[in-house]
Parts: sequence; C-alpha cells; structure tokens
Amino acid sequence: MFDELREMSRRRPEGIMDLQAGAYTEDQLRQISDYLATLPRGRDEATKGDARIEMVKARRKSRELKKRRKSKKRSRSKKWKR
Amino acid sequence: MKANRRKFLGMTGMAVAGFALPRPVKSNTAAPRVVVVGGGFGGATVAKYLRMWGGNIDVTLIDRGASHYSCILSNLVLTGSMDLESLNLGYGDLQTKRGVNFIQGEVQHVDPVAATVTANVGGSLTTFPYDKLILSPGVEFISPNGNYDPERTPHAWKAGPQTLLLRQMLSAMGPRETYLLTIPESPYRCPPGPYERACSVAEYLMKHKSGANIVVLDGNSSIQAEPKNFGNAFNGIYRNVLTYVPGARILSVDSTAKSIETTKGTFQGNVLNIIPNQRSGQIVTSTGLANDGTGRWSIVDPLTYASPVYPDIHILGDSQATGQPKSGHMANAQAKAFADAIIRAFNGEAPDPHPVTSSACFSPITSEKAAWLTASYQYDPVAKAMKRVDASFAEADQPTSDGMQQMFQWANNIFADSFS
Repeated sequence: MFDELREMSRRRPEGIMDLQAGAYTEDQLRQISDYLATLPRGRDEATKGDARIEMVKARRKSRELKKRRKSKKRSRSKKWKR
Repeated sequence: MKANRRKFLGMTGMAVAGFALPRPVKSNTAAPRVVVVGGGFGGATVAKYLRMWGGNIDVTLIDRGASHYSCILSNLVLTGSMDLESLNLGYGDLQTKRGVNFIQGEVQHVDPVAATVTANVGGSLTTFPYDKLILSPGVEFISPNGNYDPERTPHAWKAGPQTLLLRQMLSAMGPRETYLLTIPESPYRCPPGPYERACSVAEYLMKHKSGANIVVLDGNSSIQAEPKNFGNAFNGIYRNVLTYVPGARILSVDSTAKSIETTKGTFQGNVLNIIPNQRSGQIVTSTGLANDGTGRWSIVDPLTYASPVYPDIHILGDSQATGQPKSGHMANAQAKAFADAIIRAFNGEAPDPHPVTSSACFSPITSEKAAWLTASYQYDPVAKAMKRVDASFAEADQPTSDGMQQMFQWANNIFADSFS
C-alpha cells in the first residue's frame, strides 16, 4: 500500500487520489498505510454506490417509459379524433 | 472497476489525517467525559473516532434529530432521482458498534465556567457535565431583509422537510415559468452545491417544463467552485434555459410577492429558492464564540480546534473560521485530526504538529455525468493556520459518466466512515 501511495504522490496527477496523496510527506504516507493495514476487511463501502446508481438509472428508465406511454396515448387519441 | 480505484475511493472516504494512531486512554483512570453537540458529519465522526481510537472515553452525542439527513447528494432528491430516505443516516451503529451515548435533544445553554451543557430532552431540561465539549452544529441562516418566509421561498440547504418542499414546488412548476435561485455570499456551506443545483434544475426544466427557465442570482462576483465545469455548463448545454447573474447581492426578499431586490435589479419568479447568507450554528453564537472579524464564525487553534476563549470547548466543521471549506467531507477530516489531538491531550501529549486535511466533492453536471473538485490543507507553523496546498487543488477536466459512478461511491464511503 505504501508503494502505491508514494507512486500516486509522485506521478503527474491523474485524479483526486494523486492530488490528495501529494499533500502528505513520505513519512505521513507510511503512517497512513500502516494504519489502513490495521483496519478489518469489511464490506467494501464503495460497492454500495453501485446500488444507488442502479436505483437512479431505474427511476430514469421508468420516467422515460411513462413519458413514451403518455405520448403514444396522445397520438392514438388524435388519430381517433381525426 | 479496478481494485486500486476502489482503494482510492476508500481512502478518499477515509480522509486520512496523516498521523500514527494515538495511544488509547488508560482504563485504570476515570473516563474523561466528552460531550458532542451536533450529529452531522463532523459530530458523528468525532464521536465514532474518540470511541474507536480513544479507549476509555465517555462520549455523549446530542442532536435535535433522531437521525441525520445528508446534504451530500440531496440535490438529486429535488429532481426526483433519489428518495430523501436513502440519505437518512441513523445513529444506531455509533451506539451499538462504537459505544456512543446518543441523546436526542435540543441544546439550550452552555455554561463554560461550570463546564455543563443543558439540553431539552423529551420536554425536560437535562444537564450534561463535560471535560471537553465539541460544538459541531453546522450553519445557521441569516434571514434576508423584507417579508422573508422560508416556508414560501425554501432554501433546502439543510436536507429534510425543506428538500421535499422545494421538490414539490419544482415539480408543480408550469411551462414557461421561472425558477429563481440565489447563491449566498462566501463563505457558505458546500461551495459547489448551489451551482450543482442550478445544473440539476436546468436539466429538469429542459426535460419536463417546456419553456421554463432558471435565473441564478450569485451574491459573489464569480463562480465560487469548479468555475470551468459550471461555466461550460451554464454557457453550453444550459444556455437556453439558464441565466447567470454574478454580483447580485440580496437587498430584500418578498416571499409573498415572489420577488427579490438585488444589487443587480429586481427579479420576479414562480419558485424562489433563496439560500441565505450563513453564520455559525446558533449554540456557537449564543456561547459568545462567533468571534472572527465578521462576527459570523468561530476562531479556533487548527491543531486542536480549541477556542482561545474557552480552551475546553472545541468547534468543528462549518462553524469554525480556519479557512478550510465548509463541507461534509472536510468536517469528517477535521473530526479525525481533532479526535487524535484530544486523545493525545488526555494522555498528556502534544497534538500532531503537522495535520493534513483533505476534501473532495463530486457534482452532477447532468443526470449522466459528474465533475469533481479536490483540495488538501496543511498546517503552517509560522502562520499558525491551515494553508491550502495549491498543487492539490484542482477540478476535473470535464464531467464524465465515470465521475457519476465515483460520486455515489465517494458519498457511501463518507456516510460509512462517519456513521458506522
């Protein structure tokens, strides 16, 4: 982990983590990696995000479906009137 | 998603403070009593980490709510993309997993001499003695002049009933109607938040309210965060529905007539989303600790977040005046740096002389793509202040769908790191 953090802090920043890692000294990065190594391996919190994305996507899909149904209904009723 | 990206997101959520673990407080001595007022990201995180790292510390967390509604992601509730309940963060884990004593109550008074906090708990006044008091109450709004009523012209800047009220107003808007959004003068909670809201509302109007528009009245002279991404969105995809007016400070508001008088003229709308100027939470002000040059924020020592007026009172998160941004992520980072300092103090040790805090923020620019912003702060021993590390300060080149995915993962990490 320490090597990874050190590499992030040294390379040309590609994203948030590289930028944040660059704010620490090597000694601090070592302390951080030592600390992270002591944490129990629980469920990866990041994966829960995928469920939220799915929820947002599902909502968007159902809204679009409703909209499509409505416009179909409208065009059908226009045909009838004609 | 690659494993190193997941680790990266975990780290971002951790907002690591950059120190070796403090020694826990010994169990053969009387447990120091710490009272935390305010159960948002700052208060919840400090309560958790004091118990997790500190060992023998008696931690009481007091909040007026039974749970906390996250402001992070709450703009997505306005447009119907998320439920408010999915942002409802409870204190159950802090109690059962961490041993925090949670009290639902309204803090009435702090007595810094007697070292007590008095709160209305279930209708009766209860006094809590403390060895260390942490005030993390977030912000309070400064009501604009005029006939201002937040129930008619909601801010929705504290997630909860106001969010639902504004969502309902937005959804009830007719075609060709106008949504007015005001942006408070800096500093305020969540610098990119109002611009992000402008984008979410603009997209919603384009899709669902034919001919409707949004006018953004910024109390500042320019966009305060992610200027490239928000500026591109305002002048690009949203140019036909969004008008941005910088330097429009509010002079008065008439919530009944739905009009706002500003330094850039008077504006009339159908939905008025007034986000007022802000100051320290009420309990900080009433304890006499809103003592910076503006009288709005609280001066603290950035190594310990202690007030120079009452050294056993510490102020975290939005209310403090260290110049670090006012955001949930930053409050989370400060809380860990502070927890480390206070545990060392209980052991008779000096605080870490080189604390580092970091903050990140993801902003949905469209419902498909998000941009990001990040900054880190280091302690400058000469200035005795937290200074932004300029090389760490950047915004995304452009909004991406990958950014949207990372946004939810980042938020989940912060939620878990603060409340679980």
